[in-house]
Amino acid sequence: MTWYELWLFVHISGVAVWIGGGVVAQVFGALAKASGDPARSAAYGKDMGSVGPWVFMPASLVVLVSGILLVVKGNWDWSETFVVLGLVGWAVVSFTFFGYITRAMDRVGMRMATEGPSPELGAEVGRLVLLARIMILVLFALVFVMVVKPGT
Amino acid sequence: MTWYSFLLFVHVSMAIIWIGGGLMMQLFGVRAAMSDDPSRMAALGEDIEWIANRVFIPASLLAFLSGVLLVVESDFYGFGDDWIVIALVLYATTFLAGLLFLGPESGRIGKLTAEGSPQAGPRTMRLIMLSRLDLVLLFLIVYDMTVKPDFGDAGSYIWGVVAAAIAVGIIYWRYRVALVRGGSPRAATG
Repeated sequence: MTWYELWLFVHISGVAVWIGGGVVAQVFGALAKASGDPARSAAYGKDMGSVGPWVFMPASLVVLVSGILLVVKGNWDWSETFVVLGLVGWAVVSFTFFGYITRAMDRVGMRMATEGPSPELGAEVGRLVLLARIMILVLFALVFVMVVKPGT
Repeated sequence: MTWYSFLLFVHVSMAIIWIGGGLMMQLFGVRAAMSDDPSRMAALGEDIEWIANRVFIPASLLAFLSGVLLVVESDFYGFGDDWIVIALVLYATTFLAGLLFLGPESGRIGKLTAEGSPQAGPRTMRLIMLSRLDLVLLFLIVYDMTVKPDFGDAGSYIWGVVAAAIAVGIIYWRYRVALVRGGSPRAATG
């Protein structure tokens, strides 16, 4: 086993935790909403408030660090299209997820637990979920770029 | 874009959903168990059954199908390659475990929890332990796919098997500790 193979394993594992976890978290959210039970939606909001910083954020950092090590060990050029797109995409998605969505979801979960559900909070959750889904699509687009490696 | 790179994208995407989703189910399970709320555990059991049938089984089948097509399409890989044989055996094990036991058992436990059955706690703990072992198997497949060892490459095998054995040992030890602590799902999260 070479260092490159090891970093590739770490990189793909981190991507699986981040993106695959994000997809299934979305499904859990949709099921909670479909149940029509405000307590389940509130619990989901709280769960996401802790899963974001404790699971998704470390996973995204693992993806970034192992990706950088792959470029170094694999003798890839930093100006390669897929490397540039990967770094820009990582920054956009990470800052949107961890700088905004996770915190906002945590706040909504807290408010639902104390104030109870309301149309205003429901609309806020819907908006955040939509944004999270768009970010997951961006992540899959990045996976596509990483696999196809356009320009190489 | 070549047909091969498209298939590779599908293969990687489906594997990502399958493995990352499996881990996320564990985390939601831990959170639900920590809440000590039987209704939440019951809802989670039903959600997991729903997700297993509509997300994991299709994702794992697509990962398998695209993997087979990748080997067919490739000029340099064959079904006799050691790492492909290993992957197929591991895949069959985890797919059948999910299809025949983990998914249906999750649904059964959801119903037992809703009925307040005393069997629900120990069976939930057993399910948590088995699904964690299944997750170790999935990460072992990722390791096999990225390192692509052959049977003569003892070093790669030892690393993979040792890491998996440590993970299995920790999972089983935590399960035994949780049983001693009282056998509630909450104990399994401690």
